[in-house]
Amino acid sequence: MGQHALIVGASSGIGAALAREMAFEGYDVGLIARRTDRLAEVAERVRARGGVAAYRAADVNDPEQLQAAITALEEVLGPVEVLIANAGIGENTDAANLDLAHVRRVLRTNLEGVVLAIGAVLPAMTRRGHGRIAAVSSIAGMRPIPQIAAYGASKAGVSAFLEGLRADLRGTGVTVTDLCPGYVRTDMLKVEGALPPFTMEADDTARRMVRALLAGRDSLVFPWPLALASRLAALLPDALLGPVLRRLAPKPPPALPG
Amino acid sequence: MPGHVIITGASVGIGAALARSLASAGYSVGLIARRQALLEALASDLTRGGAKAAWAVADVADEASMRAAFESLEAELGPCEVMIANAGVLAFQRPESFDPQVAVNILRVNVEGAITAAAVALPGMLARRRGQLVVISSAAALRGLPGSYAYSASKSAVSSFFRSLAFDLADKGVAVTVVQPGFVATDMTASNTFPMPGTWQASELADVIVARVQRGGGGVLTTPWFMSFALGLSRLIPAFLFDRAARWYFRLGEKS
Ligand SMILES: NC(=O)c1ccc[n+]([C@@H]2O[C@H](COP(=O)([O-])OP(=O)(O)OC[C@H]3O[C@@H](n4cnc5c(N)ncnc54)[C@H](OP(=O)(O)O)[C@@H]3O)[C@@H](O)[C@H]2O)c1
Ligand SMILES: NC(=O)c1ccc[n+]([C@@H]2O[C@H](COP(=O)([O-])OP(=O)(O)OC[C@H]3O[C@@H](n4cnc5c(N)ncnc54)[C@H](OP(=O)(O)O)[C@@H]3O)[C@@H](O)[C@H]2O)c1
Repeated sequence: MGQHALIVGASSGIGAALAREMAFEGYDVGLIARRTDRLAEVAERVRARGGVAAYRAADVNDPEQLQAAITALEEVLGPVEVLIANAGIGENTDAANLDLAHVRRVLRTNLEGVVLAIGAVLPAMTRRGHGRIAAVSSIAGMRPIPQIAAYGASKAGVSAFLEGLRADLRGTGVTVTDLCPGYVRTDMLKVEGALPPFTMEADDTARRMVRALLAGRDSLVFPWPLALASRLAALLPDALLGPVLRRLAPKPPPALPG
Repeated sequence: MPGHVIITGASVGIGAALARSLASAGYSVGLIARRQALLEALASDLTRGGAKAAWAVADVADEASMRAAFESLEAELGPCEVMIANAGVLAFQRPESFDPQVAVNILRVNVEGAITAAAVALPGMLARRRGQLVVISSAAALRGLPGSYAYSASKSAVSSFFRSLAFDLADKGVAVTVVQPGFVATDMTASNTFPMPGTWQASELADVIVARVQRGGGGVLTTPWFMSFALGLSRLIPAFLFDRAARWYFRLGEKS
């Protein structure tokens, strides 16, 4: 029997691809998300290729539900050896009509959800002295940009949390990997027409993420052109970058002449 | 004429120092925190000194109590021209005994609480096309640190949120200032066992922030300036070395 790789947010997009990839690497995959029917499909695809998969429905906003789902999966698949906290939602922030329900939804799913999932496996992993923790953050967390205040904040928070946690775990046998992709073609990218620059496919993205986290790397920021651009942009002061970013960001249609 | 400034987390520490500094600069100050006795004492102290001050009890993590507090302060002191989201909490955690609820509480107060303060004040400011948001984040936003990773996450998130908001509000008359202090001598840091280089007094920090508010606000303010420099340079050190050194440093003086 393989070791237990738990993927939170496994019902679609990158998470579903991560499940297939981890199963391909010989892990028994535990799958968590809210949509049971989609989880069943992902599990079925894993089993069809000879893999082992189990799933439980849970909302990462609900600590008890999440803990119960993880406990139930550990009973079936054994203690979690690899955790990939991937659940996340993408919503734009309308600063002129700041909606606290929206802010809470994004922060509680993308940041608290990651903290809760890690919290559910961390003490046991530390005691065992081995394990791998990874979370899917985003390139969008590396530098504040307009229109996505809550999403960017949630991802900046995830990356900082992982960085500090990694400092505490360095040398203990438990590794912490920060996965920061650029654009990936999933349901989250609600675009019609042209895709954003350097858009990647979920399968390819998942393959690279799995390679990085199984190697115990600190982080994976990709694709490299976007990684380079956001690293450089992070060094520039807001006052300098503001006018440029505002010009690049989508605007409401221009007013009629006259 | 200086207007009405509301400060969350005004019962002690940096928030109380901000209230004193703003009052002596002529602003009316609205004080918010959970400990009523401390707010009352501070408000009457400021009033005795000739300033206009009022207080309201609220938990920044509770939207309803924040809305009520905001309304009562505006009723008493007029429209809020500057909102200073200062309330915050810190806790050190170890991986082997990590309690996610402690981390979640830090995020609720430091991130959601600060955003709630901004959200209750923004509609009025946008309608008047005039106002300032000031958030007290921390130099801990600049790098995830061992032991205090939930705190670092909260401050990274809150700095990122308000810096992003600053772009969106730039042409709407609302300036956003993000303050990232290094070590400040307050209750929060009183039980730290490790050395805290470049520690500031709360009153020193408050004066610098008030000067920024008086100039109209805006921008990222990291104090002392070498904090951002040092934490930036720390990224040139290989992480495996930095991490071990940082872990050793933050456990200095700890009895285990
Ligand atoms: N697509 C991109 O361009 C891109 C770029 C950078 C980073 N990311 C990050 O990648 C991760 C995966 O996103 P994706 O692009 O694959 O989008 P997606 O297809 O929408 O997948 C999101 C996954 O998270 C789960 N999820 C969302 N809210 C949840 C909740 N409250 N409780 C439990 N599970 C929840 C969803 O499952 P249910 O709906 O069934 O619960 C789903 O499995 C996210 O963290 C996202 O921020 C995406
Ligand atoms: N001290 C430092 O070295 C340092 C460095 C960088 C940044 N900061 C930041 O500066 C801010 C002020 O910290 P400080 O050093 O002055 O700490 P402090 O002396 O502990 O004061 C914290 C203040 O926040 C209030 N508060 C805490 N939780 C609250 C809640 N849920 N609702 C309402 N008010 C709440 C407290 O009032 P009640 O308990 O009465 O509610 C108190 O007035 C914090 O955001 C902190 O993270 C401090």
